[in-house]
Amino acid sequence: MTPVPVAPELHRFFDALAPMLEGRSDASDVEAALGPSGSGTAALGFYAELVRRNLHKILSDVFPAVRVLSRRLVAPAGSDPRMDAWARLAARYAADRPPSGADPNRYGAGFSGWLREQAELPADAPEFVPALWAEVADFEYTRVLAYHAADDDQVDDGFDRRVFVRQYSCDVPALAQLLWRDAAVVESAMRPTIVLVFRHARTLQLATFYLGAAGIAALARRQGLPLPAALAGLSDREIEAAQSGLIDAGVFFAATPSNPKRAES
Amino acid sequence: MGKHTVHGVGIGLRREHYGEILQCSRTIDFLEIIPENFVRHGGRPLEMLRQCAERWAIAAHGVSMSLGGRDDLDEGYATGLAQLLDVCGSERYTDHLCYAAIDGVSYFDLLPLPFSTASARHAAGRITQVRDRLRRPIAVENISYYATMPGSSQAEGAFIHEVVERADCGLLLDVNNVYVNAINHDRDPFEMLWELPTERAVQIHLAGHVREGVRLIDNHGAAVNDTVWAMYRAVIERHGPIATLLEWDTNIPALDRVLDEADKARAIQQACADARRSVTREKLGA
Repeated sequence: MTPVPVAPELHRFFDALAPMLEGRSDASDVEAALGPSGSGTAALGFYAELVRRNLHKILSDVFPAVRVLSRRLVAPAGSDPRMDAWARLAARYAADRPPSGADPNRYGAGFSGWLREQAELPADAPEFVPALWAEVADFEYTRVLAYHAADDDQVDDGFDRRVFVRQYSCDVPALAQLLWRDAAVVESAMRPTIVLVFRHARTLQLATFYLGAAGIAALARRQGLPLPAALAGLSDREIEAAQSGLIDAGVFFAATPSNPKRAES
Repeated sequence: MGKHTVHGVGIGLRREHYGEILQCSRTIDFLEIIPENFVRHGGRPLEMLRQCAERWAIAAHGVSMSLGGRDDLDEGYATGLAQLLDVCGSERYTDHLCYAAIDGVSYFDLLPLPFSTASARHAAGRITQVRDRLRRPIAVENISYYATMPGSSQAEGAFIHEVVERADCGLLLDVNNVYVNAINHDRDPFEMLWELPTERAVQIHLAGHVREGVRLIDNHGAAVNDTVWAMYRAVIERHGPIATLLEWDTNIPALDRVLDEADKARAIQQACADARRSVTREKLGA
């Protein structure tokens, strides 16, 4: 579509409003640039508050477990007492990673990576967060991706668009379950965990599946890939049992992949 | 799927009601969807939509097209939207007369433009483009606005008149928004209502709101206010039956509660139709 020409006064309008809506200026700056609002400065400024609320709500809906974790943050000296730790975290994220695109859920796409950056700060920095929070955020966002992923008509090899493989430093899915219930959480023991986060092939419900060595081998075989040396000792029977487990769990539709390319190979 | 016409009184297809809507035996004339939740998506929402479209007409009501914005319209999204509308059999697309993004930053809100000829010309141009791209008529919704933007030189009603005349498009008349705007801007709700081009209304929205400090907030989270019902009746009396959506998007109650509210709108439409028939009979008798 050829862009519709934008009148100069509209360019000035958008140029003045953007910083206010993003919290980088206030309504009086807008009025200084454009003239007064007939509704008054406070009413004009309310739009910045509405945008802040929207972004806060989107993050809260997508990352309930990280929100619970955020209560452990201590308020830095001089911080706004009206904002709790989660609100401060959400505001910092919004400032660092302004949202783009029409899909509100995608606003959370960068949150895990952003938390990882905060975890690399010195532990006594006011912005520091533990590294595990990024993993919890990744798990929560992966669930959103699995829930909304476009349907695959043909592929069924365990790497459909609705299936995601994740490796965490501990049992993050179990930790998130506790946090969703707002349970008192003792940090999980560090134990590398490989998990499939997926949308069930038939019920379309979100699910997780802990992947052992035989499960990894079943996935590799499904895709026609050679087994890594470390898995070479597994018997066919063990791998077939793992594949049955993946089908029962709804990762695969059936014993035979429906992807024609796979079926031919 | 998708062979039905939007008419009567409908409700929103919301995730909270996925578990019960397909078994619902009460009258629902159409379902409204937010297409952003379905374009390029799959899984349970899309499956629900497929099943619902077999039974009900689907009205697609967008929230992020940013018809009044300056960013380029998203070609990829428009392609996906056109496909979704085809699949659903939606005869019309509706969106809001507002902007939602500036320079690639999305605000996930319906933000008002200055009420001016420059804005009207700009929005009308983009509405026309989207209409042509989607190959179907468009109607734009009058939004709630909490402040008049600097640079405004018209009243809201005159601005919306100018937009829909220039674009030759329909009006999605949100009666609750008119009420919220009237209270927040110290105007008479009925005066503000009749300043709008209601003769172009092709669909009506009804919803609840909440008071927050000095202003009413259009949160779609409560039952419809009595004055809004009276305004709705006045529109139906003047213009006849218009497809009406009962919106309930926050604090969403059980499906039956939403349908109770929708039934009130249906009763008003029926009462107005009966009154018109009665008047016609009297005239014929005379």
